[in-house]
Amino acid sequence: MNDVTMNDTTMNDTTINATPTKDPVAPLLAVRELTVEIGGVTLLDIDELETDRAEIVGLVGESGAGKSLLQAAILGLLPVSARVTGSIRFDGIEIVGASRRTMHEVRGGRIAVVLQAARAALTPTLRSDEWIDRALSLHDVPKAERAVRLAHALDAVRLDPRLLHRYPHQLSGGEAQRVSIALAVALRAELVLADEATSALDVTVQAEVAELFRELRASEGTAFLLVSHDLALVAGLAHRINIIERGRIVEHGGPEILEHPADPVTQALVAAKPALPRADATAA
Amino acid sequence: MTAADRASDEGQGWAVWLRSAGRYIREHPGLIVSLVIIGSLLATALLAPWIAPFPNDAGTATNLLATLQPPGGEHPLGTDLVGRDVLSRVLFGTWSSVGTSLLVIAASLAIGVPIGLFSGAVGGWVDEILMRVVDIFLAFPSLLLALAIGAALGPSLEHAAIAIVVAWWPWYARLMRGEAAAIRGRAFIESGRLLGLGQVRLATRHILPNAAGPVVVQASLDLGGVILTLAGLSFLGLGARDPVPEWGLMVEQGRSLFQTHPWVAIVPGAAIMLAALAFTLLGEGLRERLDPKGATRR
Amino acid sequence: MTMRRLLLRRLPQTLLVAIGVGLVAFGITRLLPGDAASTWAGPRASREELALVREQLGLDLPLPEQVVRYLAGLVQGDWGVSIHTRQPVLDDVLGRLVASMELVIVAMLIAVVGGLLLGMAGARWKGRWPDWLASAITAILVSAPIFWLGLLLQLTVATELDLLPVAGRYDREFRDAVGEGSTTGLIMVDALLSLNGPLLISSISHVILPALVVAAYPTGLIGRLARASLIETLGEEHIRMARAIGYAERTILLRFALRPSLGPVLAALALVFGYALGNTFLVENLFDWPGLGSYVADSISTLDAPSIAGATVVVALAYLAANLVVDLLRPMVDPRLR
Repeated sequence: MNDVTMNDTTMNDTTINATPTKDPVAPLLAVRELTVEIGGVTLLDIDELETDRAEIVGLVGESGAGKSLLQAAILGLLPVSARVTGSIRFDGIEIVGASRRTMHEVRGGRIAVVLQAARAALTPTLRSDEWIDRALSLHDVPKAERAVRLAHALDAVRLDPRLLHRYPHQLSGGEAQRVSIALAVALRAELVLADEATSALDVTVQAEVAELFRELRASEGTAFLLVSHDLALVAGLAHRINIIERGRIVEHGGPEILEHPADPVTQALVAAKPALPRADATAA
Repeated sequence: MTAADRASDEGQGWAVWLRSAGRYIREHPGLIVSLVIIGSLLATALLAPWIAPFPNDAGTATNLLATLQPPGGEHPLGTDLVGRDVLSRVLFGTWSSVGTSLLVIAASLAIGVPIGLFSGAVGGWVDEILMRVVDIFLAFPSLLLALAIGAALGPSLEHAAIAIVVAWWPWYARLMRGEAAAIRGRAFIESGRLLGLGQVRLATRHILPNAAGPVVVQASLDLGGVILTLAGLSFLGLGARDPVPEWGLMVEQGRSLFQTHPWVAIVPGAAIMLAALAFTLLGEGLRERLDPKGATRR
Repeated sequence: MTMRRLLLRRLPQTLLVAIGVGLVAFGITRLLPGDAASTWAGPRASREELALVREQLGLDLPLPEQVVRYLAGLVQGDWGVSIHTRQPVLDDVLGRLVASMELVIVAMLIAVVGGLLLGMAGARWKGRWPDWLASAITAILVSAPIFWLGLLLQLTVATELDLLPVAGRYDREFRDAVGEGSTTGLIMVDALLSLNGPLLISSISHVILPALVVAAYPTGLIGRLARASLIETLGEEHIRMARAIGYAERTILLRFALRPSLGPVLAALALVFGYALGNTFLVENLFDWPGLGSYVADSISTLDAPSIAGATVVVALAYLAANLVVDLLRPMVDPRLR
């Protein structure tokens, strides 16, 4: 697959129904045989993890299982001391060992991130409209186009434009989260890494955001990698679910794994209620 | 378990201990370096009469046959204007400079901590009045207040020390008061009060151990500052007088000779820097452990 | 809260402290050894002259009255007359204050820029050699005795290398120009205003060395504070988000991490101002700088009580003003404090 300088604007121009010009069978994100070692300890050892275009994929595990590290690897943001082998391909572009120029377009522009701490993720000294505008400018969106994209994004996430004049500490959790998601939409990201994106929100807002993901998948064609410890929430949204434990994928499948969990880790996750510490899996 | 097994187990134990000690040193270099320097300083202060080659030079002895000798030979750090051995005077100066500074900090703590503790624990208008008084003292930059008081009292090492204490105690009072007032509101103090414990016992038993951390950090950091302030006062002529081998005074004595005989001023100045550095590093190293929330002013 | 509300809140407190400052200054004048009257009148004064002077100075009044008289005088602008210059203390002190402030301001500018650079280097390359170097530099700056540093710099840069003037505020040939063109009293500013190029250059070259020396401690302090604050900010979620958005590390440091990190630095700025002002006292006699420091030194050696008191008051007031300014600036820099 040719993946030299990504001068590709065709993806950005496609509407939801047009077939992408790339190989339709190849996944959007393909992680293969990835190992990440830091300080002599192998922290990630992933055989396979995929996300197709406009697909919602879940990555579920307890804290320390490697979820954050995998996200960092996908974004090319691993610490300098990390030793990486294997491959992470995004739309054919190899991320492991990619140059800064390659990553400039991919990181943020094509792969976006939504974090758990909604308000804390926004720059405290900037108003939200400035924050989005600067990010658009960073990704070379011409000035004239920015307002259009922003308006469309606000519409898609159902955020009142007046809220954009506020500073992060003046927004609610749900509103701040929508700002982050709006940025992803405005940047026309094809993949959104949602890192515990709903965990810190209260239940009704959680449901709203989950619904928002579903809508955006349909309207914008965005793929989502839902990273969470909450199996029940993910199962309600995702087409495919990967269970991660100690850096390895121990089980994967569709939402049916909730009914018939094969791996003891999955079983423990199914049995656990989100807020309480899980039963010790090693006792099994 | 055979004796050989036991021995190899013990050998393992030592190796493990050494390795973790090595790691600790690598992770906290500042702390270790500062402790080493401070240990040396304290040892020097105490042992000066025995390790200095010319102990009398720290007193009234002069040697007009050997004035302004450059470093080398009998006098590894040279001699000053009246032939006194610089090395010996610097070694004795440890007591005058570092020792006096320790006493100054101790006195400042002795005054400031109880006042702050009392003010914070009691609250109310007593607290208000005491803190206003503290504010007045803190309205002056410390060095200048010490200078003014030192000038009023007249030049001597003791007067300079007193002047610095007067300028320094309010910092501890305010720090302590902050900590005490914060803890005063906490639950277990309330329950203590309900049980009828005496005010003093309440204060010392509950508030003091918790508030001690930031105070200790501040005191360590301040030691460096006090050493510098004391040296500064002596340099201006408001502190120690000849023949006391206080480092700041020694720098002043070497001032006019600086171009031709730099060692007379350089050596004591370097000593001041070393001591101040050690205590600054100590304070910062302690800060991680004792005051992670950063209640101290630096 | 709004600036006006903040000012209103602080005013009574500041006023109270100002009165206290006056009291302390008065106390110092009374503590000074020697009889004020005979110091003023001189050693040859007759008994009648002494009595006259004593009455003029108000020394025969009961103590509380003396205090009130002194405080009232301060407020009205009568700070007494200096014994060693025979000029009104207020005039003396204000003029000298400006000279010292010139030094302090330049030093503070150097300290803020230098300190922030050192702090940024340490935070950006934390744990690697630039961090070690920056930490070593700030540690030394914070520990070196300033008068010693001044001597060293004077010897090496000025005397040996002859790069900069050794002492003074400007070259002697400009003495008349300084007298005529004086509007602010800050010679550099005045030279700029009157477009006097050579005087500007002369005054700049004279201020560099003493300003560097005065700036040493503040630079080290700001450097250490900035590093700690930046490291803490860099660990925050919004920085993580900014990286994920794709900003380069350098942009993140300068545009995203710097401003939120300025809080502790700004808070310490008033304190640093106080240190700088104190440091000038130590340095002025080294560099023959005609500021408050040398004025106080002269006053001490002549036991000039009113001058010492006046200098003390003005320094305290300047320090109070600095604290107030910093407290007003803080919400402007960090909107979270509003």
